[in-house]
Amino acid sequence: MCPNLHAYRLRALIVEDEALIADELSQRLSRLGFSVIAAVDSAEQGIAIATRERPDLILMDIRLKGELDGVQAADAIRQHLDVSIVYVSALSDDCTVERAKKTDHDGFLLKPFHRTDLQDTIEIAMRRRAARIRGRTQ
Amino acid sequence: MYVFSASVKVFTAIASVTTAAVLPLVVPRVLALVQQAKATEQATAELRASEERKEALLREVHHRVKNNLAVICSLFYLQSTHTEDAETVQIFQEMENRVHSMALVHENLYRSENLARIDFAEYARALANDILGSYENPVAPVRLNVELEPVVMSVDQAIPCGLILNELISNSFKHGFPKGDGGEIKVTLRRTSGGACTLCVEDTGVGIPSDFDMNNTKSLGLRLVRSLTRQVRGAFELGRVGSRTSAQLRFKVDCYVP
Repeated sequence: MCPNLHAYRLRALIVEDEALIADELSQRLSRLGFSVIAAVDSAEQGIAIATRERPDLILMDIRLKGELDGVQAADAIRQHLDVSIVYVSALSDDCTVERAKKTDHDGFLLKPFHRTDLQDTIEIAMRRRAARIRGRTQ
Repeated sequence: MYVFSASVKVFTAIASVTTAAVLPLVVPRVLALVQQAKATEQATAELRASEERKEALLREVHHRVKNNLAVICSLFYLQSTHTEDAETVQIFQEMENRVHSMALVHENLYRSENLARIDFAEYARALANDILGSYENPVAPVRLNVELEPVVMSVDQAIPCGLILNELISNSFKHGFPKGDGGEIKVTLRRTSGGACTLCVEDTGVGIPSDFDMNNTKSLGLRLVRSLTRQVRGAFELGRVGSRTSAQLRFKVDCYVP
């Protein structure tokens, strides 16, 4: 699916502090054709790896280990990288959703997510990013 | 003029004497009232703060429940990747759907103002759409028709009712349209007299066999429906209404809002 939008294999980073959910996301992404470069459990590690590896997609939990949360990490990453960020979180209170809305992101998935929702959300996120890249090169 | 001035002096003198006599009695009383008002205000603020803390704690509990249910779904998925058998994979997916129906109750509670009660109509609409998403066949779509009257119920009742609804809609998709044909599934929720309501799932699929016996079925889904119906002290019927298969649950709502 999504990887066909590009000539190369898309690379994904997972920022998630629940190890089993990270494993599931990793396997599902691999089945969708992504190369998963890492799964980390803190915002700080997420920012460091995203800056170094420049992935195409980041699945970002909001409540994480460490000082920063996923919204702060997404904000920091999107300041200097054009990467698709999809939040995957069980937090859905108005305050969190409003904070997330203010950051550049391409999707929000509520945990526990449906398998079809994950695939659809990622596909839309990658199409949005592809459109952004096309817009810049034209 | 002299008379007037003298009257003023007398009046002032009387007023001073009266004030001097009354003030020692009134001032402590006024001070006591002010103190009492301050104490009441402080107690109200403390009560409000305590309510807010309790609410935040309850939201945190719902959040953690959702997160744990997400971990359970991950476990089912990870286990399902260790088999090539399509039937086994489907069993794990059905288990995931059941856990999702429970998580959705907590999601609705987490987002609602009342953290103990749930608008079942809103929940049922979201659940029906979720299930449609997991069985969707773009070639021959099954249309979902949802007619739900507002019914508010406790979490204790919403969980089993949600699980029942999950089984009934899933059964319609699986057994009503086994060859991937299109059709319609209709979900209705109606309030009836005496605080009772009827939850009904009908489909235009192939229909149940004429010799079908609800009490001796090997279907796990229908066995779950039977047990959960007992839990909500309801009555369940499965049959045909014209050309449609109709599954109907009647039960009394535990916190009914007309």
